[in-house]
Amino acid sequence: MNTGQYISAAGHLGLIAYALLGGLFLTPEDSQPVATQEVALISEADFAALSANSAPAVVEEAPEQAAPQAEVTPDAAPSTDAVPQARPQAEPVPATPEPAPQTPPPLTPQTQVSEQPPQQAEPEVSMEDPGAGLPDVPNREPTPRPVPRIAPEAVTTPEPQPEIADAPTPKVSPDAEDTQVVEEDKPDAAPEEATTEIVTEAETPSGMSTSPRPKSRPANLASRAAEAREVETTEPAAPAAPEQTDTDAADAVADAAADAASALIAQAANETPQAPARPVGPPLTGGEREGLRVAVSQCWNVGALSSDAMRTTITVGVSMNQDGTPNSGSIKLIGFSGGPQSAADAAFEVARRAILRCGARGFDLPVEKYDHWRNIEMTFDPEQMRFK
Amino acid sequence: MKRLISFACTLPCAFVAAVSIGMAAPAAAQDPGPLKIDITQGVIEPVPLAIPDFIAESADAAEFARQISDVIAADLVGTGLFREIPPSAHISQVTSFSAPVQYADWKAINAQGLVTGAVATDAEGNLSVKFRVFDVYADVPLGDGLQLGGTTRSWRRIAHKVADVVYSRITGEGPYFDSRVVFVSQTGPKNDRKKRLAVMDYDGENLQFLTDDSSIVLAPRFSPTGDRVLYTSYDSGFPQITMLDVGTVTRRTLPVQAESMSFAPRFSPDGGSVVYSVATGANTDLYRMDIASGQAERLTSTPAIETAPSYSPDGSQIVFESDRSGAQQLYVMPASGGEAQRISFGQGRYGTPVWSPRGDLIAFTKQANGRFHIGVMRTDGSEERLLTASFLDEGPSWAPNGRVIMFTREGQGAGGESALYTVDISGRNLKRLPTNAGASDPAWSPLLK
Repeated sequence: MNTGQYISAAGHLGLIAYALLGGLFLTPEDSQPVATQEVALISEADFAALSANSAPAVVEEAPEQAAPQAEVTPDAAPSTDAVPQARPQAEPVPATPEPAPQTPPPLTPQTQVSEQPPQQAEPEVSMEDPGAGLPDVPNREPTPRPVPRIAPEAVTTPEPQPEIADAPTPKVSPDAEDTQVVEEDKPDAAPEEATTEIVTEAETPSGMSTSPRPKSRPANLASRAAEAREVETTEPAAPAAPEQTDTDAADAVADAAADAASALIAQAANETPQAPARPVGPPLTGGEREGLRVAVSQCWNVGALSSDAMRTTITVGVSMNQDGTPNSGSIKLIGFSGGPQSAADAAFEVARRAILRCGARGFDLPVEKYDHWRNIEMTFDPEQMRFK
Repeated sequence: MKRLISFACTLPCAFVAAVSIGMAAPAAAQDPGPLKIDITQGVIEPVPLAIPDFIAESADAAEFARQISDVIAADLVGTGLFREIPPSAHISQVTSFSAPVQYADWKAINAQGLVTGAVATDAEGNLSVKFRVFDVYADVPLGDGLQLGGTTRSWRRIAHKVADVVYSRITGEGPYFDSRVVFVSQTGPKNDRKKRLAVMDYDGENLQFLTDDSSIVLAPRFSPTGDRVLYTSYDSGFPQITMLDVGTVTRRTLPVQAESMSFAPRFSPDGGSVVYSVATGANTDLYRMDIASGQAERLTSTPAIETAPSYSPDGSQIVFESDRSGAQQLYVMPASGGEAQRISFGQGRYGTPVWSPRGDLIAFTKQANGRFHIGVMRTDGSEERLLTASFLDEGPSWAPNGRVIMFTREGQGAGGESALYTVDISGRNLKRLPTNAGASDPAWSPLLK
């Protein structure tokens, strides 16, 4: 028995001795020096200036992409051996008289396009290397573009896994917070079609200007009008039910789960019958409000408003249908200021026309937030559109 | 794979949703109220109108129906505020005046307004026109239908009247199509111009000459009722103010001081008196004369040149030009004379001010930097806006509704021709009036009765 104890003691002593003295004999190799990089702090303005200086590099890439794409023939693109097939097809391209005038001039610097006209017609550039061909020297071989690696099997992005926090966070109730969320009013942005200042002949000697004409007349106007008449004579259809998906096993289970969830929701709703209709979802975001505002602005044509009406600010109320279309019978003048009643009436007709025209196909509003835009009050203020 | 993930999410998501609703239910929710948005930017475009040919309710009325429809469309499109949708684009054909309007057909071609009508004639040569205006997108008529009657010779006036109603109902602006313009017709080169007084419809039709070219005539002005015209005549070799009755073409010269030149006359809003300039030596002052009694009253007495007076619509004030400050500027004074207040302070020289019929603006001619402009400003001189610019623009005159200005534009050089132009007070829709010969000094009549 003692033999084992001796062996154990000797082993432990050896281990302790190695731990204490081993570092003297086993000096590690010199580790590689840590690479260091000196950094300097710069201000935000300097960083913006640096970024601005680098902008032209991005702009120079524009003609490389735009010009060759115009040359691509649809049948050559999907083919794997497109290069040998495309060359004979693309050879006649240089013989075309002047492809350059068809290119919209304002998008890219014209000087770059005109400097390399032969390369625009190069089939190799247009077919193989649409992104890097044009600025190359003609004698140089096109540099192959890095190809993204493709996995043999398609993968889907994994669902984000919820992280478990160490400390519990207080639950946020929608109705406790949503009504108090204050959206910051963003400054109004004029749509491109709008004008805030009328330029007269005194400012532009060219004098008269033409107004933009609407799009060309569609060929099937008669049939569309007939459909519209049918819709007017019938009641508006209820919102379409969600489309049925394939009835495989997974869907069946999912449907069952959804049914159970809706049953729970219905039960919860039945337990509080006196509760008023509550907003579903958060309020409209600034972008959603801005989208609605721009949509109405594009149809608010003040060109035929009288001088008095141009000095009159009106507020119009409208009830919306769930599909985003305005209820035409609900549009009413709520109030006005700055002009007489006759001017307010004229301004109201123009505003009503704007709402109905641009809302005919439904404004782009999130249906889950319907309670927030069920009723809308729009204030039309032509102050910035007056003759100035 | 997606379905499995969806399934995996469905149960916990549904449970969380149900639980959260169940927990939130006891709390009383508040009505979010109406969504409020402000629209401050719009577009300025001509309003598309559909004006199908009026229906001829009698065999003889077909030609009148077509012509009346054309004049209505020309009037409305000529304002620059409307654009006519060509009949070839119409889907609905209006075959009966009382037939219901197929709004969907007109919406499909983007018509925002619709004008329908019918024309009938009788054996006595009378013409009757009935019409309706519709707001297509609101699915409602704009006002009641109207019927106008007259002789077949007055079909153009009837058409202008219809266009006036349509214009007013859609824009809310006052009408002006049924009006006339008196002007000086000019022929010959600049150094030997023959000038005649002429009157025509606002669109250049129905031209009539009121005088021959034996003597020079200048600056005609309509009376508030449109039945008389004041102008400066050189019949006697000396500029004198003459009043002409448009109906009978009879003339009489106002009794002004002998051995003095009188010019730039203008009626008072009540038509009972005339304000004008009298030049004595190097001095020119403003006077007012009662037409019935011939009694004259001096309104200004400065050593400067005061001329081009124009009454405010209420007759309480007069705007005029004066070089009392060293250069031509605009001044406003009480109609009975007295201290004048300068209202123009921009660079250049200001002249020929004309008070708007609505009383809110004053139109003027401005010369600056070698170019002439027609401009408008508020009656206190603020918000000056120049509407035109050319080698020579001058002599603005207001349309009866105060929305459009007519003026003279003269080309450069010895052969430069004078022509009449109109421009909207927004500065848009500048266009030349069709006249057979040169034309200058336009004066817009009030709306015809």
